[in-house]
Order: sequence, then structure tokens, then C-alpha cells
Amino acid sequence: MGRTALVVDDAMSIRQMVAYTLTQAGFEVVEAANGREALERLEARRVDIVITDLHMPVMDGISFIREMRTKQATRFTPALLLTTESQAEKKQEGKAAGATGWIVKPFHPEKLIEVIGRVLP
Amino acid sequence: LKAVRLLRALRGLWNAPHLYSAGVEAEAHLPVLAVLRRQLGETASDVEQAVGSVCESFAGVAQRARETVARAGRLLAGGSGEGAGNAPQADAANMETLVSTSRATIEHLLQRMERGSELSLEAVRRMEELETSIRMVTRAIGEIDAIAFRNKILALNAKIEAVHVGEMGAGFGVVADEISHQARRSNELTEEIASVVSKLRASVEGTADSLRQFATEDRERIAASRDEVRATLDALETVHWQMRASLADTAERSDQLASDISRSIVALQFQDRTNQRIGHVVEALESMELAISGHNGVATDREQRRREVVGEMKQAYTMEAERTAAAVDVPAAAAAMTETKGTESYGEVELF
Repeated sequence: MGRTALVVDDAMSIRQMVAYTLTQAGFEVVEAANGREALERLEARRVDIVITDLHMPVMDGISFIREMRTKQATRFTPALLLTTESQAEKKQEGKAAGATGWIVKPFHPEKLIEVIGRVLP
Repeated sequence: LKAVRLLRALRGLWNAPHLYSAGVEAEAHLPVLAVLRRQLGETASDVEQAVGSVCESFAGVAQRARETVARAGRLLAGGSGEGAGNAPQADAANMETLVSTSRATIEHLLQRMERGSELSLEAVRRMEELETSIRMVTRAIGEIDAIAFRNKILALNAKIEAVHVGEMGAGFGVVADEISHQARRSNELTEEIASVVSKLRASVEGTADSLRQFATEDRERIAASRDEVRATLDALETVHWQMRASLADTAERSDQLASDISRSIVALQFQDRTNQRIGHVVEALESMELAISGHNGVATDREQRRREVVGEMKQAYTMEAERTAAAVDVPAAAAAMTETKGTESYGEVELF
């Protein structure tokens, strides 16, 4: 059975690129434009992995991960932050919020799939 | 009120003409800031739409390339190429098996035709033997005919001798008449047999000639057909292998295409970085516009205001390239930017 990924980014083009990469690797992809929308998607269906941007309007990536970790269904779902940000203190914030990993954009499609393979249960 | 404003303007112009001029310039440029902000925003949006469209096309191209390779593969395997549902049928009748089976069937057919041709030649040989036998029969009939003739002469002489003898030779004359009669009858029979044998011989010769001609032509046709069929099947096999090679090449090109698309995806993501930077410039312009228009109130402490501006920049920036540029272009911001400096390593992965 195919796996499902939730891709969260306010930039439509990035959502499309990540979705294309994951679809090629056999994933079904669900998209959201910010953290709030992403939480709504998670209410509606179960996903195997979350890939989220950091800086987004309405709700940023760190707040979103923090919120999803409070829910039983998504407490242990792998969540990768995919962002242009590379500051150590931001990474620490992400780690404290419950992120599984941090990838600096631009990502390499093959590398992204490899990392996802490593964090998926 | 107008007079008070005029007096203030004159006083400002008198005390600090450059600041007064800056105020006038700021007031004049204020509407332009809004235009610039909007233009930058629209540009970023257009670029994002374009990149989104390119990415969508990539997905379509990659999908079609994969489908083409899969369909060609199924087609070469012997199926219709229309779906995985034909796979078992495809396995049972793939192209190589088809060529091999055709070769065996046609070879078998040609062998049967050759056997037919050999049987025809065998029939010709038997006909030739029959001809020889008929010639011997004809010779025998000739001898029988000669014997009958001699009997006839003998009967005639006996008759003459019987007449010479007279009364005593009457019985001998009856025997001579009977011999003469038998000789005539024998002659009639040999003529009849000779006629039948002659017809038989003509018929056998005609049949043998026809069979000989048919067998000879048949062997030539079989030989030509075998060469033709072999050449056709060889050509079919060659085309098949060429198609397989072409399919392998197409599959390789499809992989290369996927690899090229991956590289393009990395390159296209710089649009996201660019858009983010444009977004931050737009935010800064908006802040500048509000400040110049007096929306934030009157600032009196220059140093404090400068710190606030640097703080806003620092807060807004999301990547090292921006911080580096700010540190270079705004010396007052250098310390603050260096303080939060990270590493600009694209694609860097850190698992927690």
C-alpha cells in the first residue's frame, strides 16, 4: 500500500516540486499552504510523514509541529522542516518543538527521498 | 494655520536646508514606494506562477515518458501495450516465441512440401519402370505377332500339302485351317493388345512428363520459398531486436530526463529564495513608507530608531544571503547580523 505525505508550504511552486518528487517515489501527496491548514488536513486523514516549511503566514512550521505533537494521532509522525533558514538557534527551536529533522532549501530530490526513507518507520 | 505652516517651513529651510529638502523628497517619493512595493509583489507572484507551471509540465513530461516506456515494453513483450491486464497473454506469445514458432511451422510446412515433391519424383521413376515394362510387352507382342505369321505360313503350306495328298490329307487340311484360323485370331489379339499398350504407353509417358515437370518446378519453388521465409523471419527478428535496443535506449533517456528534471528542480527552488527576499524587501518598503508618512509618530532618538530598524531587518530575514548582504550594505547592522549568522549550505540535512 502506498504511503501518504503532507506537504506544507505557502509557496505553491515549492509544494508542487516536493509533491512531484514524492509522487515519483510512489507517495500520495496532500498539500497545505500553512500550519493551520495542515492541522485541518491531519484531522481529516492519517499521513505517514509531514514535510513543512518554517516561515509561513497564519501558522509557521514550528508552531504547527508543536501543535501536531500534542495530538495522539500525530505524536510520532515524522516531521521534517524544509526551509531556507539555517540558523542554529532556529534549528534548536525546531528540535524542541518535536521536528524529526531539518533540510535546508534548495533540496535535492534524491536526497529528500533518501532522508524520508531514513525517518519513516 | 497656513501661515504657521509657512513660517515653520521657512524656519526649517533656514536652520537645516538639507533636512528640509529630504522631507520634501520623502513626501514626493512616498507614493512611489507603494508602487514599487506592489510591482515587486506582482513580479514575485508572476515568477512563482511561472515556476509552478514549469514544475507541472515537468511532472507531465516525466509521467508521459514513463508511460511511453511501459507501453512500448508491453507491446514488445507481445501484448497490446494497453494495460497490465494483458500480461499473461503477453508472456505466452511474446515476439521471440512468435518468431521461433513461425520458423518451426514454416520449416515443417516446407519439409512436407519437399516430401510431396520427392513422392512425385518417386512416381516418375515408377512410371519410367512401367514404360520399360510396356516396351518389353510391345517387344513380346511383336514376337507373338511374328509367331502367328509363321503359323499362318505354316498353315498355308500344310493346306497346300493336304491338297496334294488328296483324300488322305483331308484331316490334315482341317488341322491346317484351324491353325490358320488361330494365327488370324492371334494376329487380331496382338493388334488389339498393341493398340491398348500403345495408348497406355502414351498415357504413362504424358503423366510421367507432367509429374517430372511439376516435381522440378515444385523443388525450385520450395527452395525459393525457404530462402524468402528465412530472410523475412531473419528481418523480423532483426527488427524485433532493434526495437528492444531502441526501447532500452528510450528507458535510459527517460531516466536521464528524470535526472535532468531533478537538477532543474534544484535550480527552480532558487525562485523561492528570490521570492522570499523580494517579500522581505516589500515588507521593508512598507515599513519605510509608514515611517516616512509619519504613521509611526515622531522619532527623536536617532540611535534608538536605527536599532529598531536593524531589529526589524534581523527579524524579517530568513536566510544567510540576506544577512550577509545587510551586514555589507548597512554597517550599522553588521554586528547584529553576524551575531545570528548560520551556515549557508544548500541541501544540508540534520536529523534530530
